[in-house]
This record gives sequence, structure tokens and C-alpha cells, in this order.
Amino acid sequence: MTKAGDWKSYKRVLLPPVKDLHHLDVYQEQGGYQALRAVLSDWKPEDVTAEVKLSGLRGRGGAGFPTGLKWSFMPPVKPDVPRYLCCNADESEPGTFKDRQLMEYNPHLLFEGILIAGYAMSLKACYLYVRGEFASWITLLQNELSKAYDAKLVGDNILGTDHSMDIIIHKGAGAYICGEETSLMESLEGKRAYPRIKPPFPAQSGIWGYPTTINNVETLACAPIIINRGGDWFAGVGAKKHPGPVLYGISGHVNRPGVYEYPTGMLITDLLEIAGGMRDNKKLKALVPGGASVPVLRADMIDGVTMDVESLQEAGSMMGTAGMLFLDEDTDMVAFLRRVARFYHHESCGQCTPCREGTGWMENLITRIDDGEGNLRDLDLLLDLCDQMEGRTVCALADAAAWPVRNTIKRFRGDFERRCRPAAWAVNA
Amino acid sequence: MKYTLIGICLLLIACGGSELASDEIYGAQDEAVDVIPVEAVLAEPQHYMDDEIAVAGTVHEVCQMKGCWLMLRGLDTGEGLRVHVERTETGEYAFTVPSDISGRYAVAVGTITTPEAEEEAHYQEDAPGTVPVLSMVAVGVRISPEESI
Repeated sequence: MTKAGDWKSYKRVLLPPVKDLHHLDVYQEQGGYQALRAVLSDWKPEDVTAEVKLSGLRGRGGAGFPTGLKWSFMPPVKPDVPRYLCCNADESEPGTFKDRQLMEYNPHLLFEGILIAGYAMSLKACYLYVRGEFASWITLLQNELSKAYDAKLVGDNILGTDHSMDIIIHKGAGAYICGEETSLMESLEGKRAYPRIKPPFPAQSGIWGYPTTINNVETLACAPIIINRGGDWFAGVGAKKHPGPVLYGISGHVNRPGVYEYPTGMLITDLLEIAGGMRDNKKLKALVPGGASVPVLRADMIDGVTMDVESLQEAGSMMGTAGMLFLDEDTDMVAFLRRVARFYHHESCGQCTPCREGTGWMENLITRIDDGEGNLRDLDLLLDLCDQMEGRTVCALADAAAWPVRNTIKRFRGDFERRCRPAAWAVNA
Repeated sequence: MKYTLIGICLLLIACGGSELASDEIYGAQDEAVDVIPVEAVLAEPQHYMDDEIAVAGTVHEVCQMKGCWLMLRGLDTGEGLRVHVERTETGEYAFTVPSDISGRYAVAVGTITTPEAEEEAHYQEDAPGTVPVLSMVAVGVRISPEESI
């Protein structure tokens, strides 16, 4: 038995197999908004936060921070001080596509989660910041949100109670950096999306300088499930230290790529089997387990490794967004890393020199190696560059750019060395 | 007119003063947990290991780089408890504390653990000193305006 328990009999709760679930009436027929009704009539706000703490829910946006704890960072309510919730739907991490599925197939679960979180933290407004490229999803969300407003589920005096809350859908403009929480707030305020220095942290000074909590789409969608089924139930699903259902976005050289809902703590090998195994019966070469920025694992490193914070940390990687990219034996790791480096160079906001210049140099050096013009010393130069970037910038984009470079070179050094020109002494010999 | 201006100034100072006089909270807001003096925790750590508790003491040292750790000591100023802030999976700090709080009374809420060698080595680089026997992963710190206990 793995940490995920009897996963073969697991029944989906985030994306249940119900036709037209995105329609409000279908969602309500399936018991939708019951958690909100219960919370508004019988729960105190602090009890909701306590239940979320009990559930052990960790953020699903990549950082894996305990959600209940994050909610408890909000300062006490002051009558004339507004406070905000922000839902981060700026899903742009390469290899990550699970929030989009939630917004498409179960948008009311997200709205209900937002309303429950708003009640728990006693706030009146939530900005739902959606990635600009998700144009059709934004239209869908807006249509369903309008229906929820008409049904008095959102807005003033929700369900006849004295609790009011608005949800405002905000369309991003396609910059990866806006997924970083402080850049997202700058972008919302109409400014250039440069990350802010912390402190102050968002709970102290967030949107418009007021207390703000920022949560990911999947994280907030877990809130109604926790209320309906109880924090205990949620804590009992999957890995003990990182529990709950999770959406695994599986892509790469597999037979059936897609979004799969299972408990945390699934064996990577089981997930590969669920996705139909490797394409054309090829062997697995590498796995990126949580979106492009997490360290890549070699095939020989994944035996017995499960998809949870603890196990992946031991294996030398991270859970991230659970966007799993499987790469087969024919994968050119240099070309793979060149793509990744190009992405981070393109998306660096340019505010901090180590990131602005470092990502550019990374791309140049890896391109040189990929073109067969690199030297062996370029590999050490790249590793040194990682040292100069990590932890030296306002936000974590430089870290996110350096981790895959450092780990891909260390774990597939042979692939890189073979592409470099021989050292001068070897030629002379 | 002069007296009105002086009156307004005094009022502003008074308001500012009352703001300064309140406790500052970093991270999670206070919860209904009993506050235990740091001496008691250090004397019998086995009773508190891996539990979430609130520990009170005087701040003796604080991280001057980022405000990511502080050292709490009791009245006897003997052994200390290393309090470091909770981190995200990607290593970002969940909150930080100001770097000028040495000598102030503080209550830290978190889990008592034994210091990890690698992490402690990092702290020793920041501020060389005695290696503490215990450490706390804090989810919130309340700092009093009072100097010491």
C-alpha cells in the first residue's frame, strides 16, 4: 500500500465525471453551494480557518504553503480598512495546465471556494486574476459568475444573510511574472508588473496597500470539499504531511497525456501507468515532476518516489504544481534545457540585474552548447552563473530559472559533455 | 491659532504613541494557546517536542540580513531557543521580523524541534555563537514594545 492508499477506488471530487457541471443548475443539483450555505448559517469565520488548518491543505500553486496558516496571517478586522482575496489564475508555468481544467469544467466550485475563503477572512472582495491567453475561459467564467450573481450567491447579502462579497474577474496580459504574487498585485493596480520587495508581506500590505491573501485556483476549490466532507476526511486522503486530492497534469512522451485527479502520495510509476506508459514503448529518461522550474529527476531516481513534498524533497526535487513532464530515452537534454532557458530569459521582468542578465547568459551559453560550439568550461560557467543568480533577486524567478539548469547539467552531465568541443589539450594530443 | 496648532500636534503625537505602544504581530495572529516561558521549555523540552506552543522570552539576537530568525532567552540569559520562520516549499520566508528588536519581549508561536545541522550552520555564519539545543519553526511572532520581560 502506497501513501495514496487505495487509489484505484478513489472517486474524483475536484473534477467529478458529471456532464455540464459548469452550468450553475447542474452544479446545484449535485449539491453545489451547500458548503457555502452551511458556513454562512452555522459557522464562525475562525472555525472555517481552523477546519482548513485541520485538513492540512497546502497551496497547489507551487510553493506548497499551508493554506489555513496563510489565512491566519490576515490581521484583525478594522471597520474602515478594506481587505482582499486574490485568486491566482495566471497559470503560465510550462507543463502546468490543471487550473484551466477546473475553470472550464467546475467553475462554481472555484466561486464557492472563493466565497468560503472570503467569509473565513471577513473580506468583501476577491479579484480573480486570469491569464490573458485564457480568453474563452474568461468568457465562460464571466457568464457563470453573472448567473451566480443573479441567484444571489455572490454580491450583496449572499443567500439572504448579512455577508456580502464581490468577485471581480481581471484579465492579465500574458506575462509569466504576473503569476508571482506581488507582481500580480502590481499588475492589478495597473502598474508594470515588477515584483515587490517583502516585507511588507501581502497580509500586511497587499492590493492598494491593504491586507490581502493570494491563493491558487485549485487551493480555493478545495475549500468547499473540506467543509462538506470535513477536515479529517481531507487530511486522511493521500500523504499524511501533504494530504488531499490533487490534479496531476501529465504531459510529454506518454500515451495519454492529460489532467488526472488522484490523492497526493501517488507513486510516480503508478501515474506513468495511468497515463498509458511511455509512447512507442520507449524507456523513460527523465521526469520534471512539478512544472518547468523544479529540478529534473533521472529515471533511476524515481523508484519508490511518491508525489508529495516529503518524498520529492528526499529524491532531490519538488512537488511544485504537480505538472509532470515525462521525457523518453531519445530526448536531447541540451535542447530541452535550451527551451527552458529561452522561456525564462523571455519572461524575466528585467527588474533585477542577476535575473535580467543571468537568464540571457544562460540562454546564450546553452544555445552555444546545443549548436556544438560550446566548451567544457561553459558547463562550470553555467553552474557558477546559477550561484550568482539564486537568492539574489526580489522574486523567485531567478531561482526558478537556475534550478533546472543546475540540476539538468549535474544529472545529465554526460549529455552536455558529449555536445561540447573537446578541450584544447585533447585536440593537441 | 498657535494653541490650536500645538493642540493638534500633541494629539497627533498621542495617537502615534498609542500606535507604537501596541504589540506588533508578524505571521499568524494570536490563537488561544497558553504562553510558556522559554526557561520552562528549555528545562523540559521532551514535554513540548513537535507540539505547537507559544513561547515567551527576550529577543537577544535577530537576523540582520532578512529577519528570518531570532534568539529567545529567559531571565537567566543562559541557553537560548532559536526561532526561525516557516518557509514555503520553494524556500521563501512566510514572514520576517524587523532587525531592530533585540532586547524586546516576544512571544513566538510554532513547533519545537531539534536544530538541523545544515540550517544551524547557516545561522552560525550569520551570527557565530553557542549552538542552541532546541529550535522552533515559528508561524507567528508577537513583539511587545516593552524592553525585556
